[in-house]
Amino acid sequence: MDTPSQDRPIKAIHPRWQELSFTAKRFFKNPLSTIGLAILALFLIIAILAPVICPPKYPDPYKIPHAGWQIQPSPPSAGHIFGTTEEQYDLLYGIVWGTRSAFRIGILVVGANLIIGILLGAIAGYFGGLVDEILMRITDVFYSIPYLVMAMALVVAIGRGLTAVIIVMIILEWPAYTRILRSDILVIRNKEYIMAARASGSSHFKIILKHILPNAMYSVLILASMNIGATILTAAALSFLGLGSQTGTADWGQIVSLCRNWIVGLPGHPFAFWYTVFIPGFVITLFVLGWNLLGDAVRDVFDPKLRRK
Amino acid sequence: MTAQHLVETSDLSTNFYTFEGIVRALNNIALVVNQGETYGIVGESGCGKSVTVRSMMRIVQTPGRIDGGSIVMYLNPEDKQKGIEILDRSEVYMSSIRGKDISMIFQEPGAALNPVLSIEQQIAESYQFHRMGEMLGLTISRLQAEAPSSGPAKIWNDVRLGLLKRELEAYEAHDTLIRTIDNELYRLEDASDQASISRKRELNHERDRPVRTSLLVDFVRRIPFLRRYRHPLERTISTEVVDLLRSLGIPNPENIAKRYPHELSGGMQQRIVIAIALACHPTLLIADEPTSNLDVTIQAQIVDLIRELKKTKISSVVFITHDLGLVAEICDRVTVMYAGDVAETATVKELFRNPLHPYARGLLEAVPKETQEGELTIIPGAVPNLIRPPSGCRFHPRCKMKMDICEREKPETIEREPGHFVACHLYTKDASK
Amino acid sequence: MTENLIDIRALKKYYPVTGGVFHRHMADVKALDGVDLTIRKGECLGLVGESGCGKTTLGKTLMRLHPATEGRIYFDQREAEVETIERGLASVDPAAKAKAQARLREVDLLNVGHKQLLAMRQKLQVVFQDPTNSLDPRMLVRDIVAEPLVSQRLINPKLVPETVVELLGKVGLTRDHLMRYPHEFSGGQRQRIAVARALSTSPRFILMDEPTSALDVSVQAQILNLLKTLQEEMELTYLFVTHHLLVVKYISNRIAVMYLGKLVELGPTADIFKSPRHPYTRALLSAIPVPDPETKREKIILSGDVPNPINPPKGCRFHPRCSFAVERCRVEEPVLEEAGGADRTVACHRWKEL
Repeated sequence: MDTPSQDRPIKAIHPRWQELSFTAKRFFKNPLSTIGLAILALFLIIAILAPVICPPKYPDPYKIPHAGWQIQPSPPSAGHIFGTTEEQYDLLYGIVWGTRSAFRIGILVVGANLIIGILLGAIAGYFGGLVDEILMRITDVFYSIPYLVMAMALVVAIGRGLTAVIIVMIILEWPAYTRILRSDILVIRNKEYIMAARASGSSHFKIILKHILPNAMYSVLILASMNIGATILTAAALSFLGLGSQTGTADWGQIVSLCRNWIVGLPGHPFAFWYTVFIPGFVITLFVLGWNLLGDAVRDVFDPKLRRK
Repeated sequence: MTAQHLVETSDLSTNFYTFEGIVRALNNIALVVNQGETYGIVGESGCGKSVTVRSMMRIVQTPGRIDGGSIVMYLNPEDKQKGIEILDRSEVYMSSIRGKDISMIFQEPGAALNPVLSIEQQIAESYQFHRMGEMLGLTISRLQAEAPSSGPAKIWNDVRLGLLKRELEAYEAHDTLIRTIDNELYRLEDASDQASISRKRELNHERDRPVRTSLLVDFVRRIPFLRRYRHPLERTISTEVVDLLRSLGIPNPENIAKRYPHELSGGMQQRIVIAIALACHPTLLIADEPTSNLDVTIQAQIVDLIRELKKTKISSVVFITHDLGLVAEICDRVTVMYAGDVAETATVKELFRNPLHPYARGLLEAVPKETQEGELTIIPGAVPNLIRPPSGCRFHPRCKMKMDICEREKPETIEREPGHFVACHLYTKDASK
Repeated sequence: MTENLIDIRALKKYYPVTGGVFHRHMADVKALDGVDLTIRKGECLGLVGESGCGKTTLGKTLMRLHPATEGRIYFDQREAEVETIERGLASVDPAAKAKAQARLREVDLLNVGHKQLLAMRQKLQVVFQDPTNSLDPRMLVRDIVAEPLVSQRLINPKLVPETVVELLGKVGLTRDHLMRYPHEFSGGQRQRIAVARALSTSPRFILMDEPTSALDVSVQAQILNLLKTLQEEMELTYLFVTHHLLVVKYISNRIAVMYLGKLVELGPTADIFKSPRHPYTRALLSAIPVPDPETKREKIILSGDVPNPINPPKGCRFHPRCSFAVERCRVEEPVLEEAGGADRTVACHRWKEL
């Protein structure tokens, strides 16, 4: 470390920018994280350009247009690049607009979970005692609710649609975030700089905001970035089971559910309708892979133990 | 009479390859530890005292690597004059001398003890690894002495004796093999021609093979009920453990042996760590800041214990510390290290009476003493970053007596007075007259 | 006659030990078990003892970082006033007692309301032991040092950088160090930043909780000299908590020795080192390793380990390890009494004979 006699020139760049560039450098050192980011960038572009690639035919852009009313899917052809699935829903349209749904679900669910988790986790972790006990018992209750039962109940109450899926996932996943943030806070709470902040006269709220959260955020952020992929998968599964959006909505899980009757294909041609399964499945996989790679990279960059190795 | 060397390092350099650069922890240092003395290594954080002894035992943590130099140890019981180059030996050889010939105790006793094993189990590990043959022999003679005369008990006893004897045979055969290999390695120690080097490699490879017991014993050891034949062995080891604890002055040793580390206080834990280190009567005990985490009164107890043990059980001690008071109390000779360099080496009396190196002098003046008059004299600045260490003499940025040459050249170590070595340009000038 | 800046009376801090399914209160860890201590204006009082003696707890309870179980702490009150209140609390007359208790709510640090607590935080500051952990790793030095000022709204935010530079100058750092993170500094420099933070509100009193224990010897000397200079320049009062006896000898005017939650000896530094009266103090002083190979000191090696504060021994807490213990020591707990000589107190039944 520099001795006072070897002072460096006064920094021209604000140290926060330096930290950011340092983080970015570390981030891109790993080729996998660049790949992950590239995949997500691709999907983002598709989502933004959805009206351009596939102009909507109905007032609600999420309704996939029929190319006819024939039940049997037709293979990829000039008019329909990805082919069509049951009842002639255009696959290309579904995939492209489904990207928007996927992002919507992922970000809404994880975003809401983060907010709830941080709020409750911070309160439980920092104040401890009775408040902590109560909140933890509440999370215990939510942990023990069976997923599908809750999903079905909510669908009955609210009706089918992505909203139901989103609400179900928020209700059932916030405990994990709360727990993780709380455990980090329990460690940080006893550090001396928190005591120093109290001795300085900071209020509890300020301490949580300025000292505890910036230091405790790492684990939750890592969880969030790794979870977005899993969230999409779960949403797709729920849609596949019929608990998600209406038939014909541009949602990947929904599209996969349409192929249920066609997976086996025709007698003699077992993979006649491969495109109904493969294309949406591949797209989902790629999307989740992108988020997982991103999550791994975030963890590698933010893990305090690995930071200075 | 010149003392017999125990450990000699020369030109030793160890580097740590980290994300931020190469940390040059040891800068071609030379140290000599004599047999039968308490040798102190003093310095502040980052000076390399821990890295030095870890290099000696070859337990430098990754990403560290010993990158050059030699470490010679005179551990051959038959021929005390002949040294062994430690850096050439295999890892298995090092495992066999760690705990047996050289032992080390660390700063945090709580971290050195395994929380899920009882004290007895942890000390027994040492016995099981190094002195198995002896333990087997003791058990066999005990069983033979207590043998019941007839009936199913006699049959069971005979079975046990048979199996234990087989194990003992295997260990003894292994021991003889090792001894022959070691003898040949000693003979070839200094030879550097191609044939010898390949022979040495062959021998090291031979030595690495595990102990082979008979198939029968291996089989029986896997059968749940018959496995109990080893219980007398475990009992023998338990007795040895309790005796060891008693000889260290630990009250109520039978009780303590059954306890777990977290049930004991810091001072007691450190005593257990010392017990583990001494289980096999090592020639050298290395103590890396063993009392830094302990209270002053407990520290006095531990230091007293080490002093007592030095008289009876251990022959030499290397004591690392940053506390000059401890050095004055317990050490015979001492080395002062700074930022990976050896600054000064002398007997303790000599160093305190007449410190030559400016750093050593500064250190002695910066420590609050009981007869302190006026302010403490400080050494300005801070310990340098070893990724980009200062050129020449590493102390020059903070030295009050700095000359031009100090920035350019690293000073050589000279013997200013018999037994008093210093590495400083202030003295090289006079010496080259 | 110098006045007392801080007057601690009958301070107790118990940590409850719960057990069983219903978290029943089973026992108490008696970290502090009735401590009376005064800290005079402008002095540096050293507080020594080994682990478990309660010295760190005393400091933290004083700063209201831990809530106390019982006791009163008077800050900057006249001695006569304090005596009146204490007498009122101890009296049998309920009216006098109530009056004293009402008065407590205004002057007792442990009892004051929120606004007064904030005002108190301006006057009492603290420097912690571990410089790595006492600075928020995600905050810039500028914000760390200015935090007390900003939290207590004592400063116009525009003036922060200049004020911080001034403070850094007092502790030997420069304006280049303003916009950096703590991890870019060495241990000694971080501790200087912590000291600058403590000085920011121009306090009257600073608690030093083992400020040099985590530092190298050469850096320790720098920090100790800095603290001494600052004390004279800014007329500060220090409570210097440490286990390192030679450090406390160098820097403090008076020394208080604690053992297992109680004060056992108190007096001027030079006196205590020259003639310690309590057997524990004697053992403690004799155990200090002296950096001089010529002096051979007769060490008093205490038997056994420091006992558990959950079940302190009956009678004098030190009696199981004391070589001078008699029957009386096992039964009756000694109180702090005057021990001849200026300003000396000791808690031992047999101090006169030893």
